[in-house]
Amino acid sequence: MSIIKASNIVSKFDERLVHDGISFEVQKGEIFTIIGSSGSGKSTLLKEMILLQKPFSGSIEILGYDILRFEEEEAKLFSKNWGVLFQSSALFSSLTVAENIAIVLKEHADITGSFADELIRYKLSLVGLPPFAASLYPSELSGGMKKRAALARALALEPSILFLDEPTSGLDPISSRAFDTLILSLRKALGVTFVIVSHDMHTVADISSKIMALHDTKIVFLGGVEEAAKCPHPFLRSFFDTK
Amino acid sequence: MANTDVEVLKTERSLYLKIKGEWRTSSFTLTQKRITDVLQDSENLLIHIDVSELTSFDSSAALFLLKLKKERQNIKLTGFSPPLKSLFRLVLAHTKEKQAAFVPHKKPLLERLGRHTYNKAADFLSYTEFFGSLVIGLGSLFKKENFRFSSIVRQIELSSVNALPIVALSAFLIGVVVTYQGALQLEKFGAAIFTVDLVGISITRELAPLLTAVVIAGRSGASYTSELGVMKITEEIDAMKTMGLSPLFFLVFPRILALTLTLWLVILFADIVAVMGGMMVAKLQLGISYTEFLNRLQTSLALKHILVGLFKAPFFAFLIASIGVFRGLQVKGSSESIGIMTTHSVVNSIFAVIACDAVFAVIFTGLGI
Repeated sequence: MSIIKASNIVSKFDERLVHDGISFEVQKGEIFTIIGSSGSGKSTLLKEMILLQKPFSGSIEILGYDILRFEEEEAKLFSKNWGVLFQSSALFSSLTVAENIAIVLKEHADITGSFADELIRYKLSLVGLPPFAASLYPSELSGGMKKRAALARALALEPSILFLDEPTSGLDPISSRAFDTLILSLRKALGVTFVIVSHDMHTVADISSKIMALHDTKIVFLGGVEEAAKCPHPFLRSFFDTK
Repeated sequence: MANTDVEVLKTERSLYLKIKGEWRTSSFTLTQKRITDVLQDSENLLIHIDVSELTSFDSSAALFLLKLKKERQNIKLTGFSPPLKSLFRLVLAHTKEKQAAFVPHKKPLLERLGRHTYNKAADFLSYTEFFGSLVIGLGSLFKKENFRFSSIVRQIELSSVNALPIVALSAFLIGVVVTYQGALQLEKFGAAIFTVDLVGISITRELAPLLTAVVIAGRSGASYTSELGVMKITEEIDAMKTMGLSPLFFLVFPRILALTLTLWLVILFADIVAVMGGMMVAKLQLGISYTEFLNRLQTSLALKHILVGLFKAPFFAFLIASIGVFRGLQVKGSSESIGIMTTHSVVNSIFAVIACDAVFAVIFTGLGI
């Protein structure tokens, strides 16, 4: 069953064409990674899927809803269906880690009190954070812990889709691989569908179930990891040959 | 989107609950309440909770059911589908250790009072340390490689010249207000002309210096703090240090010197504008012509009053600039800290200026100036 279906997306920055009619589908339970050189519009595409930007034309269907036609109120309600991990984590700096998660539970699900605490503790354990991290402020966390905390926040409502923007950027190789493992285990445990923008070649090769390569406004490759590694396109060659 | 349904079947000795449909975090609370309500006064009943018709669920539901089962012996959960079973296992695995509740952030009053007092004292000590480093730095400031002439000029433009419009507006209004109030009272005694003395002396000696210092503290002092604070967070200051460039000579001294060297000029400007405001009101309210006003001003306003006002300028300026810079360098960690430090900077420097002014008042009175 396809969770996301994008068709004929055209995006422009002023006059510069970023996407020239790209179409793709993401299936349930997939780890769908988007790669591309910088400036190829990976992040733009991600932002269009979570309604932070509007494409110039085209349509995006998520869970069967045409999200580009949503009214503001509908969009707000629908946003419960996805969680987003931003590149810079974007944890609220004036709140502790626990409060960062609690605010989502309270505002969207009206869960408060000791049950919320328990739920938060469970989420933190799920993303592999030690219990003491709960009462720390984002500025007191290391880069890897920040990403994990942000992931726990994205998971607060247990959305069916998680969008990750450069999940391993700024992490050392060991933390990066640990984060990859975490993504795999969450997919297995919760059945979440992942859409990941990354240029970490290891992440892409190790965890993707499907790779989409953007280059020069078009999709130059869409398929599994094995095929991608063999694809003769110069961009994919340079991407994989650095290994 | 909430469409969980709870079917209840009650017999004499048992309670049968069937949870149907979709039960996810976003629609969690309603169903939770419903179940808790149903389970009230059921201590002696055998309770079956059937989850076989849950089509969609997540960890909140699992965590809640697990907790329920742990708390009450008479509950039996039935109808697990394989995915639900694996979710239960996952939740169980991650909630094994019993943990204390989150530590509340609010500490007891006495502790907060103690910490606060200690922090204030520590702040003051580190300010004196900063002051010390400035004095030491002063020794090598006038070496050619340390004296940043162009940054000083740039800072003079930013912190003094660009402040002139707002200083002029505030000074003009203060001149107007003081004259107006003075005229109202003095007119009653037929001493309207003494308004000129009042305005001339109070403005040049006290009001203009103080007002200008407050405006500059809120404007330029605050901008020093936030500029340096941002540089601290983006690690620009660290970068500078690693390149062997001293932040003291590149960032700190230009700002302090710029303000210390030029604040007296800004105050002089404020003196003039405020007196002009006074002249205008004197003419409109009391019918004192400009010539008359200036003549009276010349005889009543001794030069010493103006000089006393201007003499205080470098001290005020130093306090404002050094506190602004000091607070900026104290910024740590998050962007929130910039806001906090900027507030501290403005509050501290305005207080310091007023305290300094009071000290001068005592000294000058003692000296009979």
